Amino acid sequence: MLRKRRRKDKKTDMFDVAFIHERFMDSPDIIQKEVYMDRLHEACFIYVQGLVDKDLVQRDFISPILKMSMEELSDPVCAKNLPCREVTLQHTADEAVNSIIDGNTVFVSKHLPFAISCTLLHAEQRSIEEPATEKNVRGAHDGFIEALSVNISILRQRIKNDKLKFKMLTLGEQTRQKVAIAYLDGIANMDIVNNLFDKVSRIKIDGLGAIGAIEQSIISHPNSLFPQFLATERPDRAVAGLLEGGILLLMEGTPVTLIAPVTFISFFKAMDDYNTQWIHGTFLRMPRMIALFTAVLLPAFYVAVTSYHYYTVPLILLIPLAESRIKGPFPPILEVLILEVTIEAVREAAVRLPTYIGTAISVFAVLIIGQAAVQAGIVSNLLIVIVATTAIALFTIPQTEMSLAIRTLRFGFILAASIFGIVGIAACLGLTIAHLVTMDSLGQPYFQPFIPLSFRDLSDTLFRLPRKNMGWRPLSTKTKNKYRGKGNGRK
Amino acid sequence: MAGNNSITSKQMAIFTFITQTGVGIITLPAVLVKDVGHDGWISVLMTGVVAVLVSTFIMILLRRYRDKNIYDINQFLFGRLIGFVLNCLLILYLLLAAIGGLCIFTKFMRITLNPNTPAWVLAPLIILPSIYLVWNGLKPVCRFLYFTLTAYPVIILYMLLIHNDLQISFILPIGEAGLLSLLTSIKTSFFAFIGLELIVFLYPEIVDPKNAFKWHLFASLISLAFFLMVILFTTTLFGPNLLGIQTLPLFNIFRVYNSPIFERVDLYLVGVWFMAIVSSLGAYIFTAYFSLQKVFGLKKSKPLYILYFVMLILLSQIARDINEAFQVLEIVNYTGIGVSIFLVACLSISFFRKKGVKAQCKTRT
Repeated sequence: MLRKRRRKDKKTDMFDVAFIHERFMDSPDIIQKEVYMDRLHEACFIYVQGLVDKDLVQRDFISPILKMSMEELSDPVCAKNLPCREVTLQHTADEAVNSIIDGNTVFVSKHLPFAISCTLLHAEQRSIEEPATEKNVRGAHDGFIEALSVNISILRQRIKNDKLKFKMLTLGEQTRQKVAIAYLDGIANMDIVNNLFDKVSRIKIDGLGAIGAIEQSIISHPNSLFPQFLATERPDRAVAGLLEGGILLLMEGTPVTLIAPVTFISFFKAMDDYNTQWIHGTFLRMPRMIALFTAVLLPAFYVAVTSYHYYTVPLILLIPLAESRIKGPFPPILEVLILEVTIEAVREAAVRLPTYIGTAISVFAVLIIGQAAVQAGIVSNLLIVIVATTAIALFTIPQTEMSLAIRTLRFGFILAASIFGIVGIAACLGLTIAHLVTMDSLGQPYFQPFIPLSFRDLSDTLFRLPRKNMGWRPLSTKTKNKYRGKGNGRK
Repeated sequence: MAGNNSITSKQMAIFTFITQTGVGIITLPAVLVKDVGHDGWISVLMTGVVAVLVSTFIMILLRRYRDKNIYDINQFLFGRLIGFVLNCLLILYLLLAAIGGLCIFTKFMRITLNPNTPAWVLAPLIILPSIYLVWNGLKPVCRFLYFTLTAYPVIILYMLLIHNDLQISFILPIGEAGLLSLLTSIKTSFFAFIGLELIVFLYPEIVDPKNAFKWHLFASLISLAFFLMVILFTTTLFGPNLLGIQTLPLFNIFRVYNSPIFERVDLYLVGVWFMAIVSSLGAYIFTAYFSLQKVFGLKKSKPLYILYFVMLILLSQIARDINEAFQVLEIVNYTGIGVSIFLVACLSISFFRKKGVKAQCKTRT
């Protein structure tokens, strides 16, 4: 029926207003204001309530149109002279419907050969705030928000350069969400940009709940524990990514942007590392690297040592450990799993609950449950220290996705240690490294610059060298513009 | 994963170096001391010279055929039928080396760390990284070797820690074993250098074959240096008498140092060397699998891949104890020597039967 009408619409060369009305049946948020032009011709202003600036629409669009005659409006030149910010003409009913859904106000009449659309958006949005999950001491305190246009403008404010480009896409057959791929022309590798654009545009889905859905659709290792795109809500981090030759993926409706290609070590960097002297930057990064090994290996070592290799425990520690363990009814693996799962539950509770209750829960759990567990003989004192150290170590990792990967990974290590002892740990470590060296992010080796080894890029890995030694962009972005400026800003 | 087998000459050199040193060095000092006493290092030096010569001949052979591996070369030199039979024998050798490596490593692990775990349970665990890597191709296998390389500085640093315990008098008088014994011991110590022949199977995968010659020789020389260092170290540390009654002298070095905080540092060092052994083993496992695909035209399929590893694990259970595992390794050693001689023979024959060589020269010019 709709197709027939469209055909009819083309034949008569007049606009099919009834088709638009039919499309917007049972849509209370769509305002359809009927008017009579020249007191004779029926016409209609259509817009989505809550997406347009009503005052501006009234002043700059509705009033001027009402003062014009139908003959004047039939002339595209006159229509385009309307004093609105952006006026477009739609020649089919489908285009008009899409324009209305995008938040434009559209004027339609069956006596006109086209619809007149004006863009005067005013959607409700939250103010710009510092991201709760990516705190910063010395850096900027703004963050992206859910509105894509605002996020693009934030980037434009920081990079006042016409080389900042955005490739726009619409994803979701039902939701029609806008997605932007941002890059710096001349710095980003265009093969990677086009490759990403192709991958994203091939996504066929009814709707995207979050930007993570895009990530999961395009990554080359969907079954991996490790994140292959770096998610951030921080504009300064996004800009740093662009300047390194990376590409940003932004989506309407989420403050999270994705940076790619990235390497494993990128997830251990924080913006504060670059805001201080290089010695402090290195000093800040070191605990994170130690935390990585602690979080993955410490509980597994406890299980391996207490289950199989007790002879590796120093004699001074062996007696208190034995005394502590003798009270416990559980084998080391159960002991560790009980406490680790409890810690995970506490962490999840603290995240989901309001901040003030979450803090109380954490304190209660750590102090009361931990102490009670030791007194009841369920777990040993040493294990409390180990699990607490592991939990703190995980908090030091700046990226939530990487922290989650390590949290999951450590359970694998614990289980392997409980079955095979230290051989299990070594095998798991081997498998993890094997996986890391096989992975890639947008075709670039994930474990770079360690493997394949790039001495030049090691300057910003486990440590951070002075700025004058970091004057080049990382190899992982495959940029053709390798140098960041002579002396990297230092004379 | 197109191009996932392409590697550089440097990566091939690391591949060769780790294949040679990973397993070979663990038992070499103890085996050699039985043959030549405290002159094991001279034997290794002489074998190293032989290994470098063999490496040179192998590289000359490969250069004559440019982008061909030994399977193609055999077809040129011996015709289709005999070439195919020889190719099958080479694959059998690779499989035998992989099985022998897995066999001995499983027994090592049972002796050192997991005495109560059955070998059939340990074997799959040991090759877990290889199972993952081999499926993904030669490039990931070689990338993993970069990680393995970190084990070497750790071991060298550890050796420096205990250098005060060395007694030079243990290797004196030099050459006491006599020239004849030293010459006959070459066949024993050649086992350590096995791995230098793997390049003949993978040569076409090297993206910069021009550099392959120098890097391959470099790999053999570095292996020689490492073997010399460990042999000299173990001999001057334990002395020939104590060394003679040991099975795993490399792991026994790890037990010498008394750490102020950590008890039993050896456990961690065995863990560190675990990666080197896994990589050495993985190199043979990969080459054997790669060769099966090339010679029999097998496509990449998961059922076949699983079957391949199940077969490896099952066959590695043939040896019931470490002595039988050593017997398997001895067969691998002699077969390895045979393969090396065969490759040198191929070079000689290639001067008379120039079929493939001529064609290559024409296409190049």
